[in-house]
Amino acid sequence: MPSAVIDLTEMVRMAMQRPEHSRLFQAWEKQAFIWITSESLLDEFIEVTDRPKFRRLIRPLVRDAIVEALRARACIVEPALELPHCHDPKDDNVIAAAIAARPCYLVTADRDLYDDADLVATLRDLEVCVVQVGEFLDVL
Amino acid sequence: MTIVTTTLTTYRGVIEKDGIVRLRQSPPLPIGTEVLVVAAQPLPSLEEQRHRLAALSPEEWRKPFDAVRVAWDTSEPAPDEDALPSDGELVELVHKVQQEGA
Repeated sequence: MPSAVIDLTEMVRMAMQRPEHSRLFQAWEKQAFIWITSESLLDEFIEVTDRPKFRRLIRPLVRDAIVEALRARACIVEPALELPHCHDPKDDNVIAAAIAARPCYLVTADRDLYDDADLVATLRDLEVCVVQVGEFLDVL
Repeated sequence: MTIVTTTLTTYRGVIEKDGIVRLRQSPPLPIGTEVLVVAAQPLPSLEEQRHRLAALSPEEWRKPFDAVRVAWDTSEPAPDEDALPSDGELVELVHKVQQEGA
């Protein structure tokens, strides 16, 4: 079964959608892939979704239930310490988790990441395949 | 009487050889800052975690997912939840919030 680290934006997107409308949630529940995360990514998810902008978009109880589900039904890794150069430090958390979990997919909505050909190639050499969520769900 | 207040902030890191603490991200702290280390037990290996999840019965596996559905069915709607941002808007919003928090 494939493993995947899901970036913050896709986690937030999932928290905004009812389970029956989220293909990512459904694929995870059906065990089509193994969700890999890290405590740092979970902390970041909680911190971002606690901000007023997101509290207007996401139900706190749903957010909490998703965090509980991730703690119970995802694998949690210690992020890698050695990372390839990345233009944006905000991507470090997700890249560090993916390198720790390789071979795996890194599912991202972030153009800065998936459009960075050098970084994508470096990660591919490290057995981390950078994909967008639609592409990922289609290959499952 | 002098009251000294202390601000505690958490940073993640690992203990390396000879007790050297290596933080995962460079903190905005001057060299020589005193730290107090609270150690966490190492996580089980990825293989162990995968086996633990694979060993769950279908009913057990579904419980946290059902809890998410229950949370949807029993909670108050968020004020703007019907105005879902587009993919591009959401990426931008997440980046903005991350920058505000940095």
